Amino acid sequence: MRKYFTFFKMRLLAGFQYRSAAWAGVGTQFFWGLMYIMIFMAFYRSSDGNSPMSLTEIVQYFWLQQALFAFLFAFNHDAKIAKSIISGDLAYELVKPLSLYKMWFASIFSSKLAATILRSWPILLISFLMPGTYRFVLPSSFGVFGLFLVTLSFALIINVLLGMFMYYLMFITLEIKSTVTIFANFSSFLSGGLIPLAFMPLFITKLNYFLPFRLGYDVPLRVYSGNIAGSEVLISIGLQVIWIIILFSLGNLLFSKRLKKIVVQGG
Amino acid sequence: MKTYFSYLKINLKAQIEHRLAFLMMIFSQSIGSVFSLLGVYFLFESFSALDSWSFEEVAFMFAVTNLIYNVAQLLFRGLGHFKDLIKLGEVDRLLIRPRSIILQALGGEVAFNKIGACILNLIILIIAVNSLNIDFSFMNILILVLIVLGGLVIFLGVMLIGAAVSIYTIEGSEIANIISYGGKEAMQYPITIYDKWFRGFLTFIIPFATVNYIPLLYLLGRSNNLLHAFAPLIGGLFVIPCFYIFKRSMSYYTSSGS
Repeated sequence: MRKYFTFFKMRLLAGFQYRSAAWAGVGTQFFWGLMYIMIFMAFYRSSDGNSPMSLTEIVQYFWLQQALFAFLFAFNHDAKIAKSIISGDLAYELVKPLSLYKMWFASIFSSKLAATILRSWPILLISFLMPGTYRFVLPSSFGVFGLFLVTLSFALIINVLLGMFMYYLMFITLEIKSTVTIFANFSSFLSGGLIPLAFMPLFITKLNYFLPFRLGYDVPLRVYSGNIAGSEVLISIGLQVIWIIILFSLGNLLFSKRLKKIVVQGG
Repeated sequence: MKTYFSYLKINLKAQIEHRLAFLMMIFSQSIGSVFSLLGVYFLFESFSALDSWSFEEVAFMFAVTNLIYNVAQLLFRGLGHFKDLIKLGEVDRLLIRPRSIILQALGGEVAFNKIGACILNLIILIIAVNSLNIDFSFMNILILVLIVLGGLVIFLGVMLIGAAVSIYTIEGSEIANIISYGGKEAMQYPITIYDKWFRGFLTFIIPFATVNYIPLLYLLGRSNNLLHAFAPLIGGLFVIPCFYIFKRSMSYYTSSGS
């Protein structure tokens, strides 16, 4: 465990080096947030008031989404890890007496975390200062904030565990870009990255109850905005824990099976 | 022009060499458009309307902006990667050849894997035009062609500015990507829904609206003003200052060595 924590710390500190890239990201994300809010404001203007999320809830949803973008955006992938699968450089990693799966999990998690910490606070700070409808507000109570932190932490773990399957697919396809694009398109469609899941038709919502994607994205954002509360939150936390166990065991198993078959050519 | 076509041919040949990978790329690039349009459709299902706009009208705007964006990505990818050419010192090599630097940068990389997304958006466009009962008259087709050409020229301008910026700060052409992608996303909806400052930006600073919202008003029968119909001709002028900025910047180019 300590070994993996060292990886975590190492990548976290390395991630903090990319400060100027982070500021560019802040500008872009802030602009996206504004644009999405403007689009939804127009939809709300013309609606009959019968919508699954209120405009205030949607505004909270989008600012949080943009603040956590570096973590949640399914298209973000670790180029170095992906390249090592294709080029065979992962042979060097396999020499180490460590589990590749856990090692990659630790380093992907920490580099995403570093990028998010650098970007999130300026976005949230500016959005707190926005006028009128655009303003990001504090959650309704300390209890809600606590539940948000719990669901968010589990969601981030699920997010990275799901992403691990993308790298697994790369072992099979030996293609980085199309694998990422296909995986990320489905993942963002099912997780709430494309549009908030509350606006999806019933059959997709039903399908989603059996899938982990929403637990890694949609749930914490809706907890913060107050769109889901009470027992529904507790059930979601339970499901998150169960899915973390399932995804971790499955991923670990698939990786160790695949790595036995791996052929590294040349040298 | 002949040089450019031979560039195109070489690129195409190289890319279809890996057939399965090429097909996978085409598929992966297309599902993005399908999912985005589905997203817009679901929003229309959840809310009754978007101001006075119908889903078909928004789908029309969606198809136009995505078609232009994807064709631009197909043709101009080489300029988008101009910063990589600088970093690798490739630009020095291009400069000693007796051909235009822009032509060589464009010819260096043509992303044919975008062809699937282009065709898909063209199909969406034709379906939208049909369901909106817009005539395929000579005039309307001429305006649509002008819209696409004008749009391509504007994207070329954005790419040129990105390439120019990357001469000063070697990590710089992200700006072009953000503006292209952001502009594309913004134009998927009628610009009347945005705040005034943003509408102004999309009309007068980087004139994306002149190759989408404004001429489409005419095609949708919401305006009879021919000036609206031929707005792409005015918007396309945007490329001229971009071209000069690029030219000027190139004269300050210093090799990154190696």
